[in-house]
Amino acid sequence: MTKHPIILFIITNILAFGLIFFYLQPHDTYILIAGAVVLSMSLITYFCISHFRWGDRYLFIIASMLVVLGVAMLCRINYTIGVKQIVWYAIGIILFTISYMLYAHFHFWRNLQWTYFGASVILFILTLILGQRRGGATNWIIFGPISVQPSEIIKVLFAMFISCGFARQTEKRYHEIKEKYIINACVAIFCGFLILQREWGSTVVFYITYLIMLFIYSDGWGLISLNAAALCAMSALAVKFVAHIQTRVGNWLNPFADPSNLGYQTTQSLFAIATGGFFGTGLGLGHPVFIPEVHSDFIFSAICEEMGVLGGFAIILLFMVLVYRGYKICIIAQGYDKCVATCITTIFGIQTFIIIGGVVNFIPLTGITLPFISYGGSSLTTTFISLGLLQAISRNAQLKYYSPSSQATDDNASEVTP
Amino acid sequence: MTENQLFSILSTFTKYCFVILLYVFIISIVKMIYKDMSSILEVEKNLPDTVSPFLKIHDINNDEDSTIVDLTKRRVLIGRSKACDIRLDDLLVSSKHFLLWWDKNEWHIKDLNSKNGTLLNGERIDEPYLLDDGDRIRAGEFELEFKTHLNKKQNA
Repeated sequence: MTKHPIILFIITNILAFGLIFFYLQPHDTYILIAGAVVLSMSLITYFCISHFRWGDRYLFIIASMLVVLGVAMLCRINYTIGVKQIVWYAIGIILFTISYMLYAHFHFWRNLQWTYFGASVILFILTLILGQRRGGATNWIIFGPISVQPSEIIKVLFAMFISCGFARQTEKRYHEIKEKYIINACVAIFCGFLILQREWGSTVVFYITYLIMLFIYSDGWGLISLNAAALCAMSALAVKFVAHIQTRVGNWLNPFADPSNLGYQTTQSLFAIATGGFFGTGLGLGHPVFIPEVHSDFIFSAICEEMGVLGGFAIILLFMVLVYRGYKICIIAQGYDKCVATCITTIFGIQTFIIIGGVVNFIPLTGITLPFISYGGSSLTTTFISLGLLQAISRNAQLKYYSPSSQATDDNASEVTP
Repeated sequence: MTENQLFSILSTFTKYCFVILLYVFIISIVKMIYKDMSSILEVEKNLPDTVSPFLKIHDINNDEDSTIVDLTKRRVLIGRSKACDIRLDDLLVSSKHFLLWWDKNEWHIKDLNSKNGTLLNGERIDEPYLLDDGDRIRAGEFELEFKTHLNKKQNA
């Protein structure tokens, strides 16, 4: 049985949706139908991946496992939100396939460096003009019933953009020095816009991703140390002068100083995790709704309360395996693909670390979503798009790695096999 | 028994199931990862002592320049087309000129019916040959020197 993780995935799905069905009063058969639909969608995608050799077989199923756990939790917290998340999940699977197809079959992506940058700047400016404030950050654009969080879309564009620069650096033997600084300036512009929107969490994700890419790709220590120093200086200044961050850091150091007001969110989250114990209270038997924002940023503490610390560990391990698979793809990928894969995997890892660390009060809390689990259409769909890119890269890499001359057009390709 | 009690029994049952399922899932994937890694290690074991030999590519018309390309794969195709692992941009080089491959602890070379032929230490080759450290391969206007890594420091 352990040979087929897909079987375990199916059992988890059945259990999760069945439990939600019994949890809801009155029982709603719609949820079972919805569950069956998304389960069959992910099974079809998995079948395509393994049958048509779309590269790595585990990425998609690990991500789906995370989404299903998130959906179960969300349906339990708030049924409307949960149903919406199921719809987003279905859309995400479709977008995953589309982005896989587009990236695997077209090769012009690396030439669009300034298109990515331009698109991101336009999105940033749109957010500044039309942006609505929600929970501290001005990062929502609302068109009637649909609200979009452009910074999530920009995350993908950012990965594609800086990869163009880094890929060009590695391919030229004597690369131009200027190029490095232009990219650095652009990253600074990205971060500047994010700070203008008060999106501290995303700023940190972008900047640390850039630092890690620099660490991997640059041959000297100059630019890295400069950027690291800049990051330290910026954070010191922010802690000193920005009131919002001051409270966050204060909460982090001592959440129990003001548990009913400023420290409410953190302390409730800690209480929830403590209530759960090893195996949790059981889905539907805890009280995670006391935590503000439990459906998006704080979903991890809800999972810890109702599925236990062991469930929480399992989530972290799943992310670890996902990131491991991602870096494994990076090792065999070449050129631009390698940069994009590294960037996307790093973003997944950093984002998970920052939000789980914040929720358990290990590092100061910043409001970003937990990839694949948190509620949020923009977040879920764009994470699936990046996953599609990673999938396409793994296919390209495997094609190249296992058969160096498989792309040869002449007929003597088979003849030369020694 | 009321419905609520029934649900709490169900929920308590599933919470253990979830934890067990998740860990079995993770273990099955980690097993796969372990297999993966050990297969990588095995490939490395089979490689010769000189793990990564390299080619020193020298353009005959340009005395100054020479580029070093590591041979990290077990099959390296050299020629003018984009599908090649090492591209030599010269009209005298055929689209797929010659092939280097590693087998039975030796590196081999074979000409792929190229138009202008491949010279190994000045002699045209028609059949596969073994490569030795310091062999010079000529294709079109390029000369490629085959080196094992051990001597890299002395030469570079």
